[in-house]
Amino acid sequence: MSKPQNLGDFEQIMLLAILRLKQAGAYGVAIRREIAERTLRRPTPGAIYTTLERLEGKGLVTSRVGDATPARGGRAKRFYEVTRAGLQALQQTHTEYRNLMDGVEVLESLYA
Amino acid sequence: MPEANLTHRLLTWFVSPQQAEAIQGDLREEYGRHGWRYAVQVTQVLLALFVHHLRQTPSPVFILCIACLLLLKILEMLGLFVMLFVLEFNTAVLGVMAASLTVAPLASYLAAYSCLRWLPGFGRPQVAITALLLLVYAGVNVILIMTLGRDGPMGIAAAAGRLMLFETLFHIFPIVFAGYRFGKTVQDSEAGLSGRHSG
Repeated sequence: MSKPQNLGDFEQIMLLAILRLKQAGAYGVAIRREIAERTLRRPTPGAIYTTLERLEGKGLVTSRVGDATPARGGRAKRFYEVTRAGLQALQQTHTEYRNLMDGVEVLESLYA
Repeated sequence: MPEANLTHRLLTWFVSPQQAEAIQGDLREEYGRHGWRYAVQVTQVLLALFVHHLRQTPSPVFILCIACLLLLKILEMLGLFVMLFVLEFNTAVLGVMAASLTVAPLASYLAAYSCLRWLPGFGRPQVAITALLLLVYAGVNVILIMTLGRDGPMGIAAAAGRLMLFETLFHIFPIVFAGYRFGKTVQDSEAGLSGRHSG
């Protein structure tokens, strides 16, 4: 099995947002709103699309074209899903966090 | 697929046609078709994709800039030395000087700023301002050299002296900005607003 890839701060957030939107459908607008609602960040559309490009290039997400809607000027949505490699990378990152937090009392009390 | 317009064509420089269509659809869904917010966001996405593609292949760009810088700085020094101490005023030397005084600083700034882009806090607005300043700088270079250069070596020397003042300003700008933003990012991190807010 290949070694999971290292994830940047914003890449983790994007992957988590895509996972959260699995049922509703994770496309550009929804991902941006999800991040804005659940974090202190207000990512620009440019940050979203460049990160999606990067994640897709790394094989951490895949995408498929959805249906076109009138509200979008007849343009199709592009839905994203986290791949197995993406899940492994997330899992690895969070295992590392947990290992580092283990025994640090100040942090443990935050999650108690 | 709707008819391809200018935005679509520009986006397809960086992403696939399907992705370009999805981006346009997203922006229209959020900002409506017309209006300045839509235009601003389209521009922002195009700039972001442009910078993203530059960053994907930073090494060749950086090496090219450094190579240009070294070559042209050597030519500049040689030209200045030969012109001031060996030759009388010479049109060919003026041409070399004009080219090297214009292209060498541009290459060096591109190299330096492409590095600064990696610094936390040196965001896209600063890159845009820097690009604008570089254009102004190139224009000032050409005008100064083509007007003062006609007076011969001393004119070139005078032009070079004035350009040094401009160069100083251009060096100060990114350093001050990068320092300020970096400090602010650290402050934000300490305040719990961890990391750089992408955008």
